[in-house]
Amino acid sequence: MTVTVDLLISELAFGDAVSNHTLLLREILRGKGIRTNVIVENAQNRSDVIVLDDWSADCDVVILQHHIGSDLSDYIIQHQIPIVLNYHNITPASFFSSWQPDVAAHLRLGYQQLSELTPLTLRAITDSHFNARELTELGIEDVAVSPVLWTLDDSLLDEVPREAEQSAIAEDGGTILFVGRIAPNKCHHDLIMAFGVLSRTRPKSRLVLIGDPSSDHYSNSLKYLARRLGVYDRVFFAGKVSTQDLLRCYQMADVFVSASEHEGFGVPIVEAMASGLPVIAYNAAAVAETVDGVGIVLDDKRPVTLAQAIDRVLRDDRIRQDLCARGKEAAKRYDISVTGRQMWDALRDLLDASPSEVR
Amino acid sequence: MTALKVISPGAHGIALAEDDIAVFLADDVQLDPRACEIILSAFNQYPEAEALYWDVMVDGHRWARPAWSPTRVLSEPGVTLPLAFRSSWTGFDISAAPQELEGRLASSNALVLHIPTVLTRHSRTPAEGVPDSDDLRYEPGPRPGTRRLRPSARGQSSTSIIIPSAGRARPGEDTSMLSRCLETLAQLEPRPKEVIVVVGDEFEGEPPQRVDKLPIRIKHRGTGSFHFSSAINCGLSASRGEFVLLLNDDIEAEGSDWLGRMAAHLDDPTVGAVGAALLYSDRTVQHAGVVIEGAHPYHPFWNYSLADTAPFGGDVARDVIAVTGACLLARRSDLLAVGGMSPEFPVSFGDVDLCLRLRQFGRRVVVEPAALLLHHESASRERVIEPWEWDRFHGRWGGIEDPWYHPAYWRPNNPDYMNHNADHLAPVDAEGSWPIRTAELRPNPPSVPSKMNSPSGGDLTRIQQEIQVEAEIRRRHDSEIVRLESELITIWDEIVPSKAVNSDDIIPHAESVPLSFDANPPLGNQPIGRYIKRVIRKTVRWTLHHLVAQMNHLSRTLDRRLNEIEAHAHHQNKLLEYQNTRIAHLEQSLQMPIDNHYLVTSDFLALPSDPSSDVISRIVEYVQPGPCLVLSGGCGNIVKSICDNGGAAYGVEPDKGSVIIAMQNDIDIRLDDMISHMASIHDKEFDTIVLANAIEILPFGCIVDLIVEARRLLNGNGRIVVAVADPAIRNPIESELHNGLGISPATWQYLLQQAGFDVRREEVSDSRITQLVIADFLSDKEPTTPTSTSSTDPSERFQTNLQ
Repeated sequence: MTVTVDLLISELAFGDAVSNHTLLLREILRGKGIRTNVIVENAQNRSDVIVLDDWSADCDVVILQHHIGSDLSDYIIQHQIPIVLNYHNITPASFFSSWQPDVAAHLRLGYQQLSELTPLTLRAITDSHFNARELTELGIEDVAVSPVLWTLDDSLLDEVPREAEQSAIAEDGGTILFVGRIAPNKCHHDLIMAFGVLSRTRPKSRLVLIGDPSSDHYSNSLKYLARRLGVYDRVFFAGKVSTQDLLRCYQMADVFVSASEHEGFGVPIVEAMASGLPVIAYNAAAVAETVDGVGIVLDDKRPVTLAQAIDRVLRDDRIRQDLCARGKEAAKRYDISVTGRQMWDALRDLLDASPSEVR
Repeated sequence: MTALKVISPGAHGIALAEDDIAVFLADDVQLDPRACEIILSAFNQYPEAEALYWDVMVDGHRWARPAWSPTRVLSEPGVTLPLAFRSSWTGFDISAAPQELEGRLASSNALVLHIPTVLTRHSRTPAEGVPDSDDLRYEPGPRPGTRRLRPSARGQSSTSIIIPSAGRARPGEDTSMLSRCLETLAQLEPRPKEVIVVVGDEFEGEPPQRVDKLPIRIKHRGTGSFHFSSAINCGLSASRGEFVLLLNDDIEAEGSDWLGRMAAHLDDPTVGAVGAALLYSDRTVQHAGVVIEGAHPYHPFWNYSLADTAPFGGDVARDVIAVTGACLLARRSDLLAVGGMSPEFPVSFGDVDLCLRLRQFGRRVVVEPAALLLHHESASRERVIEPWEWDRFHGRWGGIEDPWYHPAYWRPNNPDYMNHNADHLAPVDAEGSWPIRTAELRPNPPSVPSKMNSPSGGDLTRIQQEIQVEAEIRRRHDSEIVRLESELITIWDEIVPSKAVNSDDIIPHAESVPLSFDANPPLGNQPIGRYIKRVIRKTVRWTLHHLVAQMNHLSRTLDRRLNEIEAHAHHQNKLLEYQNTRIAHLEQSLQMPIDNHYLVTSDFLALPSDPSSDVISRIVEYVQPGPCLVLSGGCGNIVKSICDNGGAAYGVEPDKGSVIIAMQNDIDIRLDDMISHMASIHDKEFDTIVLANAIEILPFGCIVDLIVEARRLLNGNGRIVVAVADPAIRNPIESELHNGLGISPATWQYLLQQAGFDVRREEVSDSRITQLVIADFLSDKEPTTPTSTSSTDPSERFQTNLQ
């Protein structure tokens, strides 16, 4: 008899790492001949998913994607359904408490739910050792680490791939890129402040920020900050972009800088590495783990230090080439062929087991 | 040098000398027969040593001396006498008092050896210290013959205090240890620069935002279990002071100047870390410096009273191998240079590791017992050291020896960690002798614990260090940068919502809302009292009435606003429906499905492509030399051609996809709304404004605004060049998509003429662009005004004309 798996995620959104992960996981499981469905709270015009209200929970294995408080998790807790917990880390609520108290409340709920999900968890699978430590502390014993599933569709690219021996960057220019939702925990303001320092020596440099604003409050404050620093003209708040444009940006930029204070994994960092973009990152949460040995990791992100790091990378062709080569090599670790296998290995014994054993 | 001999009794006793070695000895001294030989061979073994001293026996008791400690010598002069000097040492002077020479040695960087062997026997103490009372940096110490540094107010006020805290209270108490700690810090005078409390998600309750006038900042260190080292590093990166004090939250400070006393030691550039004396609440010693024995760090004098440690110099400032991180002051730049605390030691040994790395960096570590604090150590955590922590410590520092820990005290293979420490006051081996010891700092470059253990990561680690050091150097030498940096941080601090709002706190607690109001004050029953009461009652009634009216008004307003929002939502839904029907229509005409995401994210519906190169070259012909603005810039082909032709142009484009393409080709196209971009320009004039691309899908009203703004930005000889795609000749899909948007060349001509331009039209051939409209600004000619108005503002008049 075929095993059936239901993947639970609160919502599927374009460009969201967890959504992409869930859809890729569905492909992998279906590829193994497992009947797999995605369960969401709100279908949002999609026909290939089941809405929570219609869900009967009569599958063999439930895999829950958990990264924020949700009705789905509540449902699981209420009905005491045993699950495989696919944990993508919850941003600490304190980052949001002054900007978006509602999101902060949601995140707090996520934490609360996490502890209530603990006794229901048959096995936890998570993206980084950083996350794994958190789960172990909560008392979950069976924790497997398997990075978030991710793929870079470079077939969309008509341009030639980035060459290591790319031309030197103008002394007064350079394009700095960061990709990630515009949210307080990603600390765009630190980037803009560093850019304010950098613009003094590199007046033609640009800062490209790609990502949906999570709140107008924070994103408007950033725009105001950029105006106050006199760099608004050179900071591009590109918002959400299509995959093709995203790839173009990775190609076009000279350096990827993350000042984020909380990343459960950091997919954009891997994307940047795969595109051969040198990475500078502030050492927080799981970032150092992801950038391990292939990018510049800073313990200090005050504007001058960050600007100095950016300037150094833009100035020094050798470092850029070195980081480019290392990044491409390291990104292979996160290729879907590798991570897919890791994921499958983490799940296999549960799926091979007869249904009665699992439930 | 072959022998050492007594040459003459000098002013200060007997002097021994052979060519270049001199020893001052009092007349009661018995010299060990081997002394000369041992001293000479020591100098031979260490050619760079300028002086040496040895253990002495006083009245049958051995003085087991520590290795050379400039700080101890300056706090307790005479403690290393008698000394043997190399007379070639630049500070040497045969007529000077030995104590003065000792002081000179301590102030220089001379290498001084210690021979842990008894070489002389004295009937009284070799030299009672007579501190130099003229030195204003010092004040009298705890005992006669000792002194201590005066507190440095400047140092105290430029210190950032970093306190990692979980917000816990001691068993049986309500107030958290952190609050108590902060209250005692508030006694500091002058106030420290800032107190950074590093908290994690495990923090119990709300961190105190304000204690007296203490400048407190709360820093969140991220998730994960408590990790002292990374919490400190997190605070370190956020700190702004010249000095940084690492402090545990279970410490209660005493007095107002202890921090200044510690900071005074950092005036000496060779000192890198300063520790304090930490006492238990029963006033016995918890920490007064660390010793390392057989690669195991211990707290000496543990559980003794500080006064009992006087024979060992425990009550005066002195050099030690390490101090506890529970209270450690250091320069911020030094900590950064050695890479902060090592994440390899999350809880135990991180402080010792840090001190050892500072020593490798060329800095001394001292402890100042005049800085007294209470440490409720056991309250903060169970002191259990994991086997892996030992292993790691031994792995990194296995070969380390503590020169200040006299070998006579060694207790090899000691099994017990804490209880052993009391033994350090026990009598020592009276006659033993050991190899020469120096307190020499190894001037190695700082070795930073690497997060990158990959074999190729070494180079990156170096670069990361270089970057941080470069930034530090830049800060030190460029005051402008320092000012800018602090200004930036201040600007952001101003923008950040000041008080963190907890969503649970939005609704105030019922208890905190005043519910009753005493409208009947005790004013007696006299007529005047009754009158006042009546007035008060009336006022209260009126106020309440007024309040109710206001509330009703507010509720009606809210109701109306809600209705508006509902209507808006309804409208949006309609719009969405309409959009969906249009998409369906489009799919039908294209006979292919359209990806919803693509529509949402790439503005598929509003993306006219750049004109063909033929048209662009025609446009470029009409561009005048001088500044030029291209609206919208599209993918940048027009701007590029103008710049290639020697012009100075930039473009503005509302479509981010196009801007990204332009950026990729390094063309100056800025992402902005066309009209608001123009409206934001006040200090610039253009010779030419090119209108192309997105203008063909603008609604009529926007085009009028566009012309008004363009007119304002043009100088006296300005020109507008419009590339017009005639809406009349659109293909069916385009007309469906852009229904009602854009205007024909004739309309452009009419509008521009109305705006006071001299306009002509040129035919061009392109798949979409049919004509170029070239409008020259006639600064001397007023706009043609069919219905003359009294308005003097041309743009207003122009708009009136159009209506």
